[in-house]
Amino acid sequence: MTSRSTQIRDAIVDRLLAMVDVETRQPFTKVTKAQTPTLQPFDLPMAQCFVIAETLTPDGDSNAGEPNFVADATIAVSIIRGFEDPDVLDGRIDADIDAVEASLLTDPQFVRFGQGALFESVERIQRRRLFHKEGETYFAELRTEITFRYAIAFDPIIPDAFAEAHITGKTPGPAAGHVVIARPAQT
Amino acid sequence: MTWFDEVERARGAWADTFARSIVVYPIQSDPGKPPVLSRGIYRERPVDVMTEDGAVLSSTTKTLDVRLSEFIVQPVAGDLVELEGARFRIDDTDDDGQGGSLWTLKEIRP
Repeated sequence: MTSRSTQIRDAIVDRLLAMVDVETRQPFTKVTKAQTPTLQPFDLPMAQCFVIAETLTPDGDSNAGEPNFVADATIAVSIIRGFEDPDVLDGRIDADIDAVEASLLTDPQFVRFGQGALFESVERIQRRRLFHKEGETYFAELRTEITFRYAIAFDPIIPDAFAEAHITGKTPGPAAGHVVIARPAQT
Repeated sequence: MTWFDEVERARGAWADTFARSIVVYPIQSDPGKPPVLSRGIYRERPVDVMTEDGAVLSSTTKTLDVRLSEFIVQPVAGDLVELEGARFRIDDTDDDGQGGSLWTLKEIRP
């Protein structure tokens, strides 16, 4: 079973695959969630989606009860373009990221809360711009980092099989009783 | 014959052997003027571009080596160059102080 962060990332990738360019109405040439394969210039314009950080902090008192956490998963969506005038690139990746954020946050299936929800809230959105100096053309990258919050609890797994309980009680009257109230079935 | 003349003669022979035809659009250096036919030695060098997420984008650095004596107005960064049907923008010019200049090119597609 995949972690909740991975499920959120995959849900984002599904929506990126369905998106089209605002101007050309063409989909992204490549949508990837793996960092390892080397990318090629003919893959542009490209969308990447990665889980970049997961932080778990105690949900309530950290020393009471089983471990309960609030998980903040930061997932980055990067759009990379090239082969255009730098000013044009800047505007186009900005429009791309606007479209990505709008597509995700207005999708009722993605942002639904309650039963079957992927997350409880969106805590933060941060954008970073990167203009690469190296390469055969001007490459521009705009990344939006979205932090999703969800709860996770680690209920204890008790390996002891319940065998027998002895409870000593006092019955009304002069004599105290010793009563076995539970015993496993004999095999 | 001076040292500069020797270098110019050698650079000329080198260009006669290896140079390709180019068209320079002097939109920065001489705005409003028609394009200039010239030549230069084109080279590519592999380079890896690291994305923000650490992925590697395989690319190349494209350069053009030209003789400045073949230009009336010296092209500058921002001018456009057409080479074998592809359009480039001059991103940087590095003069070698001996009559040559190395241009770093960035491909621009319409």
